[in-house]
Amino acid sequence: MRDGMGPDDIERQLRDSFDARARAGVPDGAMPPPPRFATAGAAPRRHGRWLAPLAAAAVVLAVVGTVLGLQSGSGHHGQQPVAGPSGRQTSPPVLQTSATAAPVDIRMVPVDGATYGVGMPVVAYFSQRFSSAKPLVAATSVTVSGKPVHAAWYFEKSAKPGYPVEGHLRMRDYWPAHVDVHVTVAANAITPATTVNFHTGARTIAVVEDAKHQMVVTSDDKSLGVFPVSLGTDSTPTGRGTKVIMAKQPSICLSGPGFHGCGIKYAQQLTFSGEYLIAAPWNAALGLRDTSNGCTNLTSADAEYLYRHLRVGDVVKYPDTTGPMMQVAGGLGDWNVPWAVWLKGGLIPTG
Amino acid sequence: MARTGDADAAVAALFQAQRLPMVRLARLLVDDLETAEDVVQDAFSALHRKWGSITSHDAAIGYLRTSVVNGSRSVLRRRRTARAHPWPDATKWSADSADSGLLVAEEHREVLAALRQLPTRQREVIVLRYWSELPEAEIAAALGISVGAVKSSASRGREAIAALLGGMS
Repeated sequence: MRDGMGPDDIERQLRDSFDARARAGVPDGAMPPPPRFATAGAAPRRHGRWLAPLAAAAVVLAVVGTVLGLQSGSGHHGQQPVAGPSGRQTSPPVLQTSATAAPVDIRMVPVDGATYGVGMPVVAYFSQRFSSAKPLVAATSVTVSGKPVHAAWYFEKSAKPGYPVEGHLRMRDYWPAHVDVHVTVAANAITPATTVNFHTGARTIAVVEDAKHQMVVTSDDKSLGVFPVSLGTDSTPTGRGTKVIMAKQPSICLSGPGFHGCGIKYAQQLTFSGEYLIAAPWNAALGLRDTSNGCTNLTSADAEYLYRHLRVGDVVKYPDTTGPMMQVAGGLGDWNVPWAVWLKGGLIPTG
Repeated sequence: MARTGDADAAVAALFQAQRLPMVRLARLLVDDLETAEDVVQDAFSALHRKWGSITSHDAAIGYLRTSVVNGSRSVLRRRRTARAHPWPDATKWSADSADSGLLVAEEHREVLAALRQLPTRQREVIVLRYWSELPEAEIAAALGISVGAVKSSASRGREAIAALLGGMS
């Protein structure tokens, strides 16, 4: 349908898509009460704008709303949400029980109710550093389909503005396939209460074998196929280690040495540095030689197939590429940290 | 129309009529609903403060629209730093997929994903042109740029979106 698309088609498509976004994303019935405007001076800025009325009631709010664009999964289940001044659902206020305890804003990455691959860690962003994670560890409980399991926090510096620390929570091995994962953090000296619930899909593992220039994918121990690839050249080698799909985009722009292009399709992101699984119809060396800037190049048909069958949280291993070892902070590099090291807690000791 | 004593009632009436279209406009400029609501709330607060200098209904709408565009732009500027850490996109993708009640069809999602990759100016022009259906002169006024710049941004934006959708390949 997109072949030979002319300017009129683009204009029509833009109007249709904007209309669809408006109808789906902003329901007509979602009208909040009119705001009360500040009568003098400027309105309090940023979070303070909607914190102010609550602060007057001498409470400290567990801030879940955000201007940073991250749609948090840190819901507060079992409690009635209250409507903030702007009409959005905000979490209920949490009473500060101790004058010295400073609740740290915590936001989790898995989206409540969504389904992820078995390699997906829970990622929590913390608005302040803290010296010991012991209270947080004691307050954390994780169940898999209702049964308690042992999962551990590992902390590192975060690049997210306003959130200097991020914690990753995982079990020793991947989550089991086809289960419900429920993470509860009870209110503690560090954070307010937070929960997140998500599902896991099939146990889907891809192994990219550089020596054979192929990618072998299994899902619940059944083969999804063997796909010819071309990886990074000697000067731009693909990183080594275990990576996890972080994001999927139907079409992206990519830049690299001597290269900038848009309309690159079926992109599945593996590292912050910009390694993706992508459709590379221009690459004649698939299955033969490494000619890319570090991305895993696939045929368009294979890339589309994998785009449909892999999900965020699925594991992609690079055991024999020559690039730098995948780090935790390089994306979802969690599985490259040995469990004994993980248990120490990284940046913030958990023991 | 502009007596400060009337401001509360007048802005409240405008809020009833204009909040939804303004939130929808902001949503196309900043992607997520919460931020869009924040931006629109700020725009109405600013309108209330400036009420004394607003001379007509049309001027009020124009002021709101410009505030929404400028507010969205500063959110994007702040977020650009955050984009070095591209989690927001990852979660957004999952959230859209998970939320079956608010599903946007795949073809529309591709267009919206392409929109997100445009430079800010092109994105603003495309949204004001094809969502707000503003004539070029009003887009120029809202953005504080020339009509020529509106034309060229619209043209480059359309070409980039066509390329992202694979229409040119």
